[in-house]
Amino acid sequence: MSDQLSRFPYPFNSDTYRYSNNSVLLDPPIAIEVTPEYLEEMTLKRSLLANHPNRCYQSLPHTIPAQWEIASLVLHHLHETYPEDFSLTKEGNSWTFSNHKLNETQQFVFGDVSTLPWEPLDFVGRHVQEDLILMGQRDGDLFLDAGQLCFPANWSLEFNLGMNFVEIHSPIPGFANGNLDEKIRNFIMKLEVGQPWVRRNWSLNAGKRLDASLETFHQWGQMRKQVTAENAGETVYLRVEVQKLFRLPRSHAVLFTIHSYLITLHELAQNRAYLEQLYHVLVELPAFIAEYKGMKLYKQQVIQYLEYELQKERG
Amino acid sequence: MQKQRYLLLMDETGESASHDLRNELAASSLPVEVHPVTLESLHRSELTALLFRQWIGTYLYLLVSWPLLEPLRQLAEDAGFSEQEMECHGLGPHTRQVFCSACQKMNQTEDETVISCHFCGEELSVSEHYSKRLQAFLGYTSIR
Amino acid sequence: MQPKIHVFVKQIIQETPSVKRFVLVSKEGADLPAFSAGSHVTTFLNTAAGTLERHYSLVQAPAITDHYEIAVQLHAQSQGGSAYWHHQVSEGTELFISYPKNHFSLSFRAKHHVFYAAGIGITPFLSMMAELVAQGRSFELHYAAKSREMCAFYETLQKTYRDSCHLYLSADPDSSRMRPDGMRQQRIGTHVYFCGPETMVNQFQEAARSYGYPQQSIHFELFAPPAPMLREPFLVELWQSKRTISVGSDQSLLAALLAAGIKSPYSCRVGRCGTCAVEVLSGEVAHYDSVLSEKERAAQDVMMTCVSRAVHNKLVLSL
Repeated sequence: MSDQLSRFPYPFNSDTYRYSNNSVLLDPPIAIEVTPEYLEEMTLKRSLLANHPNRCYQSLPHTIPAQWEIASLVLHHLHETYPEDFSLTKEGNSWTFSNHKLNETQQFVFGDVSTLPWEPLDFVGRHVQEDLILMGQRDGDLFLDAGQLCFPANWSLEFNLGMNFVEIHSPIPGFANGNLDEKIRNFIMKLEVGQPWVRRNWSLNAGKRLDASLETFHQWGQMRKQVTAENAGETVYLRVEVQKLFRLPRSHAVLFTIHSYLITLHELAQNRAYLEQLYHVLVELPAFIAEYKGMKLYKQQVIQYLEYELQKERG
Repeated sequence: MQKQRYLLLMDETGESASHDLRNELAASSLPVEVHPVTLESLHRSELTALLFRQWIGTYLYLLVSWPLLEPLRQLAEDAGFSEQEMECHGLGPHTRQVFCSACQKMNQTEDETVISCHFCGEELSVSEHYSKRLQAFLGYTSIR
Repeated sequence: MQPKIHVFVKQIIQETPSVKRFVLVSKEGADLPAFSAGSHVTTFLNTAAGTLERHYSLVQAPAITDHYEIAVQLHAQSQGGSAYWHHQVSEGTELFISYPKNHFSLSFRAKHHVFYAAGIGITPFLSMMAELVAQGRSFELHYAAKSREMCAFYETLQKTYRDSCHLYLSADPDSSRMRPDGMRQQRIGTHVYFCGPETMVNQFQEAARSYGYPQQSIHFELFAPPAPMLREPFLVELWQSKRTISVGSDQSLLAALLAAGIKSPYSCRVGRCGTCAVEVLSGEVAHYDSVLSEKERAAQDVMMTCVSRAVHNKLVLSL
């Protein structure tokens, strides 16, 4: 098994897939993960932020205190988890953060936005592979209050900014069945300090592209028409988002981190158990879920490809 | 919640459509205050003062033409009215704003489900996904 | 299950003859976690009767994190919690507490906040008022106590919040009684908050609704100790599977179902995510989850298999 495959956050635990609250407690309680793709992804992220700032970063005015909480949490996690790569020193409110992987140092006064070149959330996001979303919790509801989103799976931060949880998820067919959207919202609203959660979300992508933004769908979406049973192994990727949820203590807001991983079907198929399970999941997957996950145009080709791989192994 | 009094704000369009509502409110035996509003009055201090001096227990009706509705609703919200304490009715011709996902500019449509973005030319399918902040529906691009 | 913080009692202050204030500091000497206004902590008390869990509001300003302060009133009918705090705890006593939790937060959109406190119910409002002052937002406090001597935090209130604070002393014939009708003449966008005995909270809630406060503008906190988990064995009849299985006293219902080969859904296994919910056809459920509302619990038609159990000796599930 390749290193990439052994590290891959495989998302399925059953032969059938339906929407559910598949969250579990996060242990260890670390919000970020640095992988071998770090340099490549940070370069891509920073170029996206430079070229498409409004697409990739949005924030409502009242979010600065919660943004500082996120900055503190993420910088501490980076330093404590990867001490050789990230240092954080504090003298009162005077903080110095060094990213030794990118050879950068930033000095600033914690709590004073004028001492940073970007808002705190925008600053700290430039040092991690994760997309960082701030959900404000107020007056009995949860709102998308700020976010740095460079690698979206076909949604728009700019359009969704300010929406509540149910509104954000209203385009997903079937997600409101059994009030699942409200149940997940209520679950998030009960999150407690010191007890973060994690879940995995998945989809298939035609072509390798982390920044699958809604804004550029008409460009990268074309690849969906080019998938064949012959090329599916190399052109179709399993995309998994590892999503972590942390309660921010002072603002009572929620940090939602999204770390996106891509692996080709061919690579994934090297694990027989994964190959078999993905095959069963896709064969059984209801059309409305397949469509929302973007695979309507090439699901059959993928299934044919997986069948071919399954027979190959047996033969 | 137990309403204590009604406040009805209407413009000319609203006035001609307000007959049934006013009868209903009159039958309730609670105090009813009616005030005319116009697009221009939005910027005057009397309207702001009127909304900001309301007591708890006041239920607000907005009966106005569409262009006036959202700014008036926002003013009421700033004054302290929550969704449970007001009812908004837009009247007359209504165009939907459509947010172009490709270029982020706003297009107008009455009831089309597919439009061409006036700015970048992309074909947009008008969805039901609505942003209160932008006051617009999301226009999705498609693959040809 | 929940992560805990090791603290010791640095100082004890007698606020009134029946209320003591305890200053708690981290055993490791570190800063304690920040918290939002209105938060409380659960204290885990090692009494002779076993570990008791009791919740207390944090009474200091949220900006302060080098220590926590809680105030405990000695109840005549103490089930052990307040008696333990008053008689067994001294300076230096070590204990474990939970991270701060907030079930009583300030409204973000309220134009004005009105607090009604009775007795020890004053405690959550102390951090809230400190926060509102820091944010420059408007509020008023109405606080009913027996007398000045029995009024916890009297000095703090007079010194810091004098202009916003209305005191009602029931044993003083010259003092007026705290009544709900003060809520009538408040501006639109006012939110009201109640903390005190259940009868007081219910009376004020009903009054607020009758004056025209929408439910979302009414907030309250009642301190009730969590129900201890009963761990008795019980039987479960599975309607669709046509089987009956037994659940041992130290086994969760979910574990028993899975061991019996039943494909019962689950995810978090700690009663929080809601994925393990199953339909209950008969039997009384002892709910120990954090998913269902009071109303849903009372309906007795759904349960979380990973933590909840039977009150008596049998349940019938639709599985």
